[in-house]
Amino acid sequence: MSVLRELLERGVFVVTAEVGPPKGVDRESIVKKCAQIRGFVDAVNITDNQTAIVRLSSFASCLIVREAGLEPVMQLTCRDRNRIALQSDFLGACALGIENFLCLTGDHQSLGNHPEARSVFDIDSVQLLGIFRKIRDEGVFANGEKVKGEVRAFLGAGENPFADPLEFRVFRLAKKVEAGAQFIQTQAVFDLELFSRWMEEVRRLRLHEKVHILAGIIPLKSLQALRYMKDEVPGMVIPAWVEERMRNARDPKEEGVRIAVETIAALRGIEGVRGVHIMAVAWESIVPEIVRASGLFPRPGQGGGEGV
Amino acid sequence: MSLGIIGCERSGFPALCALGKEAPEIWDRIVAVFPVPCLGGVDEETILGILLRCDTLLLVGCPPASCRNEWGSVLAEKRVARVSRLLEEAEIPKRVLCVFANPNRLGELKARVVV
Amino acid sequence: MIVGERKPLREILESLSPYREVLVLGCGACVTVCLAGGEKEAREMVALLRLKGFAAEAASVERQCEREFLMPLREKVPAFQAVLSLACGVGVQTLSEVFPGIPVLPGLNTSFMGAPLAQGVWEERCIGCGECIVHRFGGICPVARCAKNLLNGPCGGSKDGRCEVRPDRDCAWQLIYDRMKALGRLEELLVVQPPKNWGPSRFGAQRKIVREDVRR
Repeated sequence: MSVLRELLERGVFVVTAEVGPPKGVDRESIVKKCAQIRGFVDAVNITDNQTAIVRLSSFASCLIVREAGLEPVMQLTCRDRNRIALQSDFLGACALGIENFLCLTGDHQSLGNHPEARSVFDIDSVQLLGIFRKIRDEGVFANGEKVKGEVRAFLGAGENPFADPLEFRVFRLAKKVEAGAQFIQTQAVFDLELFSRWMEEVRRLRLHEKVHILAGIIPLKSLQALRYMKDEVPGMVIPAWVEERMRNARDPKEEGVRIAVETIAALRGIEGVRGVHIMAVAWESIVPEIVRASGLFPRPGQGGGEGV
Repeated sequence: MSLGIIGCERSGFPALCALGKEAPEIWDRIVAVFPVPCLGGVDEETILGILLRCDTLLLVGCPPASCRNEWGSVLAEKRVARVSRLLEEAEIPKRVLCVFANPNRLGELKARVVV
Repeated sequence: MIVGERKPLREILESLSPYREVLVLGCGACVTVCLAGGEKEAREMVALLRLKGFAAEAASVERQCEREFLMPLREKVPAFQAVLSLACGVGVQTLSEVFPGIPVLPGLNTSFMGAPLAQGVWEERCIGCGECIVHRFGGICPVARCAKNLLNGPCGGSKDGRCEVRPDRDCAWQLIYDRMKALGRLEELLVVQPPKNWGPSRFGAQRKIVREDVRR
């Protein structure tokens, strides 16, 4: 069974991280990043050509991650592959022992490094969840034909509580849960107030009882990084106080870590938040410090307590 | 420079005639003259057609505030701007301009025509 | 209506460079309405071509996509070395079919099926998916108007009613949400829409519709 699933069902406050594959065939870079976070996370996401930039495939990277001794979460987007290819990749991944999947819509190709490419978007993330769930629970493909063999998969989706229309976000989450989402990883949380309000709505619909919500965290490296995220990344809400702290910080990196740790502490106090998803893009090495400072080290099964 | 002139009968054409009296040498340069009731009636096709005969074309007429048809001069300006963009895009080395003048306001016309 | 715009003049001039005697053919339908390829535009194009040294003439027909409107030109067209068609892609192709012996060059880039929002502004509305479901979304089509054609939108990139792809584009799902809210039908957006059948769309094959009941 998926380690991530097991931990969540046991009520452990989980820690997941994210690793971006290289823009080439350098598998060592993945192995190195895994080495930096091993023991500090319960599972690690591998992005799927994130921001429509061509990288080593999520599928292959997940196998490298597993070999490196970590539990992978395979991200799949609907931008580049149709239902045929997505189901096929799902079977392939399951056959090779990958058990966690994150079903995403995908950033538009115009934002990436091959903007002239056609997009696929044969299906969307909600439909993708449904199709994977159907394969797993009913043993049939999207067209109703039988799937040979049994599939084990822990299905997740992303959600952005900060995108518009704000009031509709919790309903979108409900749709994903209905379609089969068992865990959710949210966009990075900086605005705790907004996030708390969203969680209130989530609890009002009792969704927190049906799906494990992992709140996203991005440690800020610099004021520049903050500005970039605020201006370039769609759906990011960064309140003014964060910018001010980063601007006035003597050591921006230290401040960024401090903010992350404070945010994690606050998130742990919100009912329904079952873990954190640390997206330390190009800064995976900082994950251990954040996990330690948050009192989340050691991780269960890594020699020591439950890391509650 | 070979000049073509489209002048409205109310101001443009009379202005041209007044300038011609003052500086008769302009007639050496002007290869075609077209009096029209109002500049507003001159379309892009006409402008382009006349440009076959000259390298610079002036649309001379009433200042926008005093066009008796209200929009004549304004329309002329828009169309002249459009044609200018087309000429530039097609890399045709010719020019077309709007000049607002009347017999009492010869300044700009003089500047454009008298070298 | 079909909306297109004139190709860059440099491109048109380059494609016409092997020729001198050119017929510029306008179309009286959609391209007239979107001010790209009607009779007026054809005559303007001829005036420009003449300034570039071409022996050009203008003509226009009611609709270039119908043979019966092109047949009256069958004596005229062969007199030219090439035809610059200002019709949409359909017209260009029909013209090529009816006059296979003469080079037909497209003068427009045909873009989309859309509507005018204001004078001089047109926006895409329909991509001809072949299975209209706009009623599920309050009359707003996510297939044509959402950059990711999501049926269970919005995506995480919608901000202030704008699409992440271009800040000057509306997020179709914000529009759908607002419309359904105004209609008091928000709960319909909670229904999980199944994967679309793209068979009837352009992705199925070249479409053809035959109406036996009106055939002669």
